[in-house]
Amino acid sequence: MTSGESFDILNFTGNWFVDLCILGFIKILEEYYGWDLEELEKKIEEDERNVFYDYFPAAYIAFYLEKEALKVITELQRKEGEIKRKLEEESNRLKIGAKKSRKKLHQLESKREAINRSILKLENYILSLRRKVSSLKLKSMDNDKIFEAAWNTILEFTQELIKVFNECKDVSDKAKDKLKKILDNQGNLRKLPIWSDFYLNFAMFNPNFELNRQKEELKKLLRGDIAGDSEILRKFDRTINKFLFSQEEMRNITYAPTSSEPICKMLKKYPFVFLICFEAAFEFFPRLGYYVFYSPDLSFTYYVNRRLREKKWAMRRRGLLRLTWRAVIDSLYEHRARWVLEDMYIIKYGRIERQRIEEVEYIGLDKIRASLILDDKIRESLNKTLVFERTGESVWLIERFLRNDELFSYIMNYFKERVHKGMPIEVGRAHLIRALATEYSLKKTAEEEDALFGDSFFTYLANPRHHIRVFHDSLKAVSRFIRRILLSIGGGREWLASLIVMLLAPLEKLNRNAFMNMLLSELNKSEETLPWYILRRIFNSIFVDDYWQYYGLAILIDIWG
Amino acid sequence: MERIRSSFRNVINVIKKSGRASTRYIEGLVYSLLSTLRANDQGRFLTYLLTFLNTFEEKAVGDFIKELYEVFPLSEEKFQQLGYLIIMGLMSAKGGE
Repeated sequence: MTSGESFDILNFTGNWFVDLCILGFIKILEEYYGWDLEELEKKIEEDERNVFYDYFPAAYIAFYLEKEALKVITELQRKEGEIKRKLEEESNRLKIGAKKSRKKLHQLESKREAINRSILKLENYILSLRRKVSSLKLKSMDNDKIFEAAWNTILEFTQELIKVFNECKDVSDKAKDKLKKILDNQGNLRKLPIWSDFYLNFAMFNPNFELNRQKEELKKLLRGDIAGDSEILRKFDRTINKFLFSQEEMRNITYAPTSSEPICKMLKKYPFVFLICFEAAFEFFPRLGYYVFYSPDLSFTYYVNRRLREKKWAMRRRGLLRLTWRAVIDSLYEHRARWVLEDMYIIKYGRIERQRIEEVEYIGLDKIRASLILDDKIRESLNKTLVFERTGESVWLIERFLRNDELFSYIMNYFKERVHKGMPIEVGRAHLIRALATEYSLKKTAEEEDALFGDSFFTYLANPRHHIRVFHDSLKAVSRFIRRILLSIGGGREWLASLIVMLLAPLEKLNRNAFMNMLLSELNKSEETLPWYILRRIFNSIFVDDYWQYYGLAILIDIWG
Repeated sequence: MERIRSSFRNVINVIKKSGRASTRYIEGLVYSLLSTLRANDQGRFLTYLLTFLNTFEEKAVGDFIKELYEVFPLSEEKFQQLGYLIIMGLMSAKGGE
């Protein structure tokens, strides 16, 4: 096949749901075979059949088998934690002389060891599963034979998982119940031990379907056959996408029942292969739920998500958004994909309870702001973290900026704290001033008459630094002058601090009259002649400008240094 | 406003040239004017300003006063703008030429 066709297969459509399906597909194959996007494209180009009939089904089922094993591991780890706590309690008791504790201690320790052995077994299982899947050889056979070979591998894994489960003594009742369901009375395999809360109605995951039926379903799925038993796939509703209503709930007769045909049109080849991968696109973050980053560019989305996955374990609570931003910014910087910035979403869901999705969140990202950070200088200045000593809170400017938060108030509070304590600005005043300038220039552009559809929008985007430079230049002349005058009047740093604190009060209340009044009465104390052009600049930046507070704060920051 | 601005510039030149107003005096005047601006007291502002300008006989000063007469009383915002403009002009005239 030609490279054009492979491009057709792995290509984003612009529909986030379908695109995430493609992403899930890539992720599954990458997880087991270690192919990154380019390699996968090459593989599909070389031998499409093998990828879809052999590599994919084995990896797909391994993905779910691993998920089951992981579930048990998490449970065992929790148990182990409990025992560890008890062990500590008992050993403390032993120290103060409780005799019974020694026996208890022994019991607990042996229990803990057993659990650790089980965890190790399961972990080894996962490792061997991964090893086996990744060592699958390319076979040049016809489709059916390839599939048979893949199916046999799947069965092998399954048997092994059951064996490991049986060996683990501390597996919970829930997991044991599940095992009972998949084995018949003679102990033979009745169905695959895989479950998905997302696709409960698919034959693959349906607890009532037997092994052969599951095999047939999988085959049909790979062929893209929507006739017969795969009827479920015909409907486009909650069965396919948990973010939708079910057919019964969609009362609008004109539109319902909606069929999955339009989706199949978007995904020209192997539509259902992709559709069942949707769930895999999401990554689970402990305590936070399932999470995926989406933008209309495949490779960009892929790299950001991969980076997120890599850094997953380094993440602390509430750091997820920050982590995403780091991943986004790093990838942006590397790939310079400017146009991608049109739409970016973060899609998150908490958990699926009785087939209902809880806590779904979509976070949209602003294009102008995102494109501004492509500028090296701006990014450098915004890539600063302000640490508030009083509360211990830290604010990462770039994140707040992209989330459309106003930087002014953060910088103001930070600066106020610094002045109160008489400390210099740690992150550097030039960076704070540039951050203020960036936000100021954004506000000014939005204010212009043709801000949305006119030229100024595009000229601004083309050269954002120009506006920032203008702010910077007019500020520097003024603040240097004011600083010199104030220092010549006398008074040390303490005096300067009290003056700045005094000037911050009207600035906070946006009272320009009071601000100007105080500033001028201080300057008036100097015996020096004040040049008219400087005074006019002060007047223009404070009295003519609607966003004078940015100038005001920047002047104070520059004076403080 | 533009017209007042330009005629005020002439007044400043007159003040600078005459060299009659001492730095100390202008400082005091600016201080008083600032306090009236803070309180938005247009009457007192004019009293202080006119008392000072009255000591000059030049035509430019007369023209400026005529224009002031036309625009007053002003809205609070306009008063502040004009007020600070005048104060800054006076500050720049400190120390003569």
